[in-house]
Amino acid sequence: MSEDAKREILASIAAALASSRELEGDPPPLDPSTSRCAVPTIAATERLSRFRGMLERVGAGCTVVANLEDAATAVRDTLREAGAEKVAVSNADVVSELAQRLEGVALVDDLGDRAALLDCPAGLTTAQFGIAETGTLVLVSSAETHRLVSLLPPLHVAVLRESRILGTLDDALKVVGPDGDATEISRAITFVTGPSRTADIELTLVVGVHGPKHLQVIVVREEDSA
Amino acid sequence: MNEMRPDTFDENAKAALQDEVLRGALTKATGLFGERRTAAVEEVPDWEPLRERARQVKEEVLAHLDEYLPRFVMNAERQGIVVHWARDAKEACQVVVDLATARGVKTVVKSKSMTTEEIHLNAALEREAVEPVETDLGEWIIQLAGETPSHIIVPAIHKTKRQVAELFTEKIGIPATDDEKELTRCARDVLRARFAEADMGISGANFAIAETGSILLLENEGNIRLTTSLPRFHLAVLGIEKIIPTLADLAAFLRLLPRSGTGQHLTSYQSILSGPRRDGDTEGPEEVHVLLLDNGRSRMLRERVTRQSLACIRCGACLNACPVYQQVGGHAYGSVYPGPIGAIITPQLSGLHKAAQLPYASSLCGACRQVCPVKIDIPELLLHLRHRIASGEGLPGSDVPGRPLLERFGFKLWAWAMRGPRRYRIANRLLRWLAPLRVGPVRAWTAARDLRPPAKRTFRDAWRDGIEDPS
Repeated sequence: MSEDAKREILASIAAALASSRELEGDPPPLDPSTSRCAVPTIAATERLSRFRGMLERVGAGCTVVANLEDAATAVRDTLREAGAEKVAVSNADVVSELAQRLEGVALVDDLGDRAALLDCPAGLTTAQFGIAETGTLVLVSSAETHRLVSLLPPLHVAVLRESRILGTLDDALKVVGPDGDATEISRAITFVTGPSRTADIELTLVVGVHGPKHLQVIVVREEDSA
Repeated sequence: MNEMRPDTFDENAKAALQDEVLRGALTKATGLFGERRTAAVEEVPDWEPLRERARQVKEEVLAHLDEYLPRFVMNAERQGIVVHWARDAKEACQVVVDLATARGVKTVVKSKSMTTEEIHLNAALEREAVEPVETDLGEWIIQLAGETPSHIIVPAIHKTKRQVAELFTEKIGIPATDDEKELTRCARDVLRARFAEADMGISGANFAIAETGSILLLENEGNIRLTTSLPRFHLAVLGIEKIIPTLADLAAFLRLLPRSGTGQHLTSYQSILSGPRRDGDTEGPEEVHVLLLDNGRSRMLRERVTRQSLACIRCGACLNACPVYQQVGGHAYGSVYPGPIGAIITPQLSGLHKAAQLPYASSLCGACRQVCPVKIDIPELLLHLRHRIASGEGLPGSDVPGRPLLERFGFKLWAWAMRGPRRYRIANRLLRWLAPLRVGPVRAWTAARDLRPPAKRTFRDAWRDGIEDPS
């Protein structure tokens, strides 16, 4: 059935376009000069402040720390404030290293154990990139197992290196694309900009409807740690 | 609520105008979204070039869909995505039902998708004892209430907090509350359990990228992320017009769509999905399928003027800007696609004869054209469709509605009267005498408007007697 449908739909498209080309001619080709409109690049020195400002606008927290040691402290503080005694951790090296420094917090590290993840009050991941223009985290599934850890718990803590903060959406789409870092596009690339939100009841904003209620981003400035 | 159809727009609209709750909600929503949109657009200095770029990209794809669609399919299949095709709604539902039943699926979690609304997928699944659970909060509310969406972006905009609370008390047994936070928390808990048990997730897609074979979904709630990552089987249903050429082209649309829809600079989440989990992965669906739906779209490619309707990215900005929509809301349009965009898409998808009133549900003020992020000339299309109705030409592949008897008679009379001065004079006198009685077509005209009284003397009489100089 689907083969017939495929053949017929493609034939119908071809017939319609042939008729259009005959009567109206081919439309003008895409004007390359319009391809990079609108957004000027954001200088490296301005990226962190822009990123932070945009995060605050969407109600996410942002802590900037000097090194991994301080990052561990920031994670601990965030978990304590949220009253989280358990944290689900992704499989990123940096996350494992941070997890070792979280005394007194139980770790959920079996990423295949869905019931445990659903029950966990917090999730700790890294983000592969940040986007200064929009205050966005970019999670690339081929680099880290964090689709569920970043989504199921009510608190998501994400660690990001400052050098990974890119300027614009265009820059981010370039690095995750087929010409970017990877030879092949990753299975799931998720852009995260703030907590989960809805305004479906009388247009009143409520956070944490299906995903995290709170997003805390910890930006690490030091480059050569871990 | 009575079922509303697109061919009864006039009656639907009158009923909607009597509904004070609906009108209050509409004024609030359309006003708020309008203001937020304006503020968000002002942040982008090059808004106009951005719109022009997006329009060009869409036109490029649609005018060469015979190249871009196969390219998308080839790359999607290369990523391990199984691609299905459906010529119409019935075939599409059959494909989905077959896929679900073959896998013994009992529960399907769904994220908001206008395409699945268009094909009435939920009813088809229910007939086969597969339970569809809408997971977008607004969609879930109206599914519980047994209603249909009234707004593209905020489906339950016609419901007050109190009505939602009463609905939740009745359907899920929560204690009465008028706190939207508490209502949202209850929805989260109930739906989490449904996500955990579901064997299949069905989503739509905002864009499909030819270059990579990926689909992109935008959202705020996180239910799309859950729908596309928790169940072992994910199916995306999308119209064949959703293709864009490259990943890089997304940037323009990501800047345009959220600003136009909700006035956000970006929605909370975008998911770019490119196939099932691989060996060694512990998460992500084991199977990812895509269903490509035609359902009247391919014949819209035939002319530039109709083709532009397929450029729509479903932001809802034209609804909020439309003075007709602001008064009557989404249900009056009697179709999945309301507002100005619905008034042009519905007649083309379902046939002119089934929705011949919709192209007239507009004052042609042009506000929709002004806000459209991909520059669809909606007034041009409304006029085009009106012309196709009035001329009796219809649309390719669609029946032509007969012109109303009275209108045909009226034009015959007019043609007769204009053929000679004597006839004109007689007709003129007759009309001057008939018009104030407000009968026939005059009554329809004056039902919502004032009829200006005719001048005491006709121009012809004044001319004959020598026109007096008013000074």
